Amino acid sequence: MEILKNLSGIPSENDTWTYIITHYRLPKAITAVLVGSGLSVCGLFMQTLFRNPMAGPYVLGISSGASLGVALLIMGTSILGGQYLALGNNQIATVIAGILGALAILITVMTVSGYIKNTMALLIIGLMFGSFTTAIISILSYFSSAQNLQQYMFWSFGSLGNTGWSALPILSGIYILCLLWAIPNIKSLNALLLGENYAKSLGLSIPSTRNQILMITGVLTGVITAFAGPIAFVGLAVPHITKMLLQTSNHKVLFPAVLLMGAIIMLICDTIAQVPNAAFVLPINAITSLFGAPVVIWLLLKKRKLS
Amino acid sequence: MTKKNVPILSSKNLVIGYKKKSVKSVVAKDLDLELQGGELVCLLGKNGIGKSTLLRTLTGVQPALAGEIRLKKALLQDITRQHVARKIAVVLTEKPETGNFSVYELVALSRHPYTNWMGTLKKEDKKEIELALEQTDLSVLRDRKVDELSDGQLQRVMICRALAQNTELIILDEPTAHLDIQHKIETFHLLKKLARELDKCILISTHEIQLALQIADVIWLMNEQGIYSGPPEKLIENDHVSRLFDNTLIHFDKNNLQFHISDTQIKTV
Repeated sequence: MEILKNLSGIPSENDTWTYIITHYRLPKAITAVLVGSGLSVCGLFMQTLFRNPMAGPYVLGISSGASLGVALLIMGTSILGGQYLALGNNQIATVIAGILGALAILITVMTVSGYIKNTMALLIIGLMFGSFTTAIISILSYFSSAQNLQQYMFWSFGSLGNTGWSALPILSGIYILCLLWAIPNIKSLNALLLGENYAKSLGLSIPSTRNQILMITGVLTGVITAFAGPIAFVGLAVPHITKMLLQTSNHKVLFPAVLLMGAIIMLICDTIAQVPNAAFVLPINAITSLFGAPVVIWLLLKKRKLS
Repeated sequence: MTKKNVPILSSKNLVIGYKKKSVKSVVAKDLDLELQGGELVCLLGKNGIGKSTLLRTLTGVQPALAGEIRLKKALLQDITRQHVARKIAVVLTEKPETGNFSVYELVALSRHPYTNWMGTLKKEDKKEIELALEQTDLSVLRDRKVDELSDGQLQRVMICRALAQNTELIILDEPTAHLDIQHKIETFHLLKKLARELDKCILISTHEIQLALQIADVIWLMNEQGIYSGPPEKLIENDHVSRLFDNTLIHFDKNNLQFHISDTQIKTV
């Protein structure tokens, strides 16, 4: 009741509550919606493009790219002898580093994809880039100071709470642009389900469609990861959960459904991470995997088939 | 042969094959081919002779090394892919990953070249889909999930999908592979019926030589020398069929259209 009052602008007796809700909980909830739905849609697109149920925003190494950017920023300063705080005033710097890292990997993958016609090979190259960046991050961690390592660890746990009102316009702006760009591709995604050769026979330009989808997922994943850290599981699992619940492969239905499902699941995970009546917040990354993985396994056992 | 209308598809001095960097490897050359409406054309040839390469070249997926291909009067390479999609439909050997689609939804994908950017099905699209479902006797299966279909049914659905694309030419790559003899015959029969009744040209590559010789209007025999095309009786008479496999192990019996292991070879075993 008190929450509704605050949201509708009626002055509450409790100023602290008002402050917490409007300055912390509300932007956090919006971030959860954007992150959850954004990552899920990226996962759906990747799974269709690569015809691989294991695909997700991670596969192209884009998340790893963002991680690398952030790692270079946080731990690179440590090697140069400085001390860096990922949170607080330096958040914008973290975000920019994350986006740059994601874009760097995205551009590399897209350049390579120009030479390689085979989509499956592209998937493997993406995975290789992922391992490569992880290795660099390990080396950086080895040489960096304890404080900076801790800063990086906190970022990599994932957090929805770091996006204040000041950062939300950037995140939501890019989010909306990506989704608008995605809508004309829904038709092509359905055709792609037939396989690339059939899609070609229907007049679809495979390189153009592929590049557009790579761009959309790359930018969206990059930005989300930069803001909220590398959030596991959601991008892979939500499309599967949605497909199993709705029993359809039609992207015209799946696209809005996956958006909705991603938002809902992320909000639930966030609520759990908040731990009612406790003074601490669990890392969101742990929650998404801890509660999500069993759900997927359970669904699989029930259905015995992944599509 | 009597002079008919402008062929749906024709080729002149066509050379097919692969080009890697500047090295060309020619699969077949000097191909002068013609496809007319109302005909069921069967492309025969042994494995690796280049049947798939030919089909891919004719659909414009793979560029020709030389020569020209015309769709009606226009050169194939001048036509945009989207426009080609309204002229040629294909049925491939690969299995689509559309398990969760209903038969209707899968067939509806054929309307891709005609629908707007959102893929909305208009009245005319729905009419074409209904018509194709009817012609392939699939109306009862329309709401069935593609996952639940047998191989024979799935092949029928893929033919239906190609049909709903409403093209003058349908090209099928080995449509009867994996099917039992009943479904093989049913498929051939269906294709023949569609060609006849809808005045479409249907070109298939197949290893079912006997069936093809019985039912096809025109046979394309592909071997190392090129392609011999003509009605089945003529190709049998001219011994083109018997020379399809240049191996002394194989003997072609003209009377019952069968390939045998040569008698002389059996004795030597």
